[in-house]
Amino acid sequence: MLIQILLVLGFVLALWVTLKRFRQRVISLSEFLAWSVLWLGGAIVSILPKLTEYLAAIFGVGRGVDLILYAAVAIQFFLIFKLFINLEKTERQLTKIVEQNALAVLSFPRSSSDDVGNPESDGSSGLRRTTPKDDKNGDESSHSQG
Amino acid sequence: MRVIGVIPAYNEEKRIAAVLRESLAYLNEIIVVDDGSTDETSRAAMGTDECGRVCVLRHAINRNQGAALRTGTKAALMSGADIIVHLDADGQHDAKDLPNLLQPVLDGSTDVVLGSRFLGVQATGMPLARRWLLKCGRWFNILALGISRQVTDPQSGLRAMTAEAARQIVFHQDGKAHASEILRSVTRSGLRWMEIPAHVIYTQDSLNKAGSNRTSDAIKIAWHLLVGTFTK
Repeated sequence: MLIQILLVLGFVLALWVTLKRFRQRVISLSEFLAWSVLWLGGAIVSILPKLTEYLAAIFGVGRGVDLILYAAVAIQFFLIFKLFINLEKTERQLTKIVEQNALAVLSFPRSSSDDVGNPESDGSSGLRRTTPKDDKNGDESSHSQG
Repeated sequence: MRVIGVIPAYNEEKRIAAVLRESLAYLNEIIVVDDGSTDETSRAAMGTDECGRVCVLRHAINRNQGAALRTGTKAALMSGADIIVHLDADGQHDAKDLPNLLQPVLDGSTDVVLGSRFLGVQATGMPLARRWLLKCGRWFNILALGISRQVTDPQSGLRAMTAEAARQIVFHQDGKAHASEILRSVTRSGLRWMEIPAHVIYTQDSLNKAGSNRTSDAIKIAWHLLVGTFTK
């Protein structure tokens, strides 16, 4: 049937892209294996649809197509959650860069101890921003005003 | 003893100067972290630096309160702070609470002092919905995060800590969930901690800025804590 041919071609294409990404070291070995199992499983089920009836009986699901739908939903939930986690990692890396950028304009000459709650005491702090001329780590103007 | 305040600020040009003036009466220095504000927050903060006691750092883009607090705390540690105080920039915290907040750390009786809105001092203008939301947040902290039941305020932004405690307290959350992370770290790390009553003032201005939909904030906090659990 035409649908079987199209599905198998689609899965083979997906497998080829996965292999290509693995060779380019875009994905790890475990990711390559997991995706390959998924595409191969899809291809096998497309060629042998009766297999899903057999698997559905094992899992106690009425029809083979229901089993595929349930599995697809579960896999999609997992992938979405994984995407969120990867997004969180990227956000943290971004924050790290922003933080380093902000801290780079500081210089820290240590000062003698001051009295707490006594602003009239030597208020000279050890905490100073570098001046634009001193700032070799970045553009001062980019930190001064929005 | 060198006491450095850390104030994360986002679009606080109207309020930051007053907060700095009041707080400088009790702190040696203040680090303001302008978290990518689109207004004149940095300029307003620098304008109050008459004695060279205010340092303004700037995030190139907005990374939220937790990230700004982390940047400020690192800057304070790098500059040799003995005690670090976290404050909000919107003027909700009463600077008159600072001596009470600092005293237990200064006399060495505790490592971390947390300001609480639920220890007898009535917050001014706190909406009832927020009060109940905070109570729910406290139970979420207890049941989901294992934070001590003795902590009465789950989202207080007012705290003082020794430099050593600040080094030990680890928090990764950029958003509002950092408060729960800090509480978890403090109460489960063997640090000596205590809460003191803190007077918090809610004005229409600060409530408007914080946004009206605090329920969605609570859901976001829970979600970020969940995702954060799975993130290295």
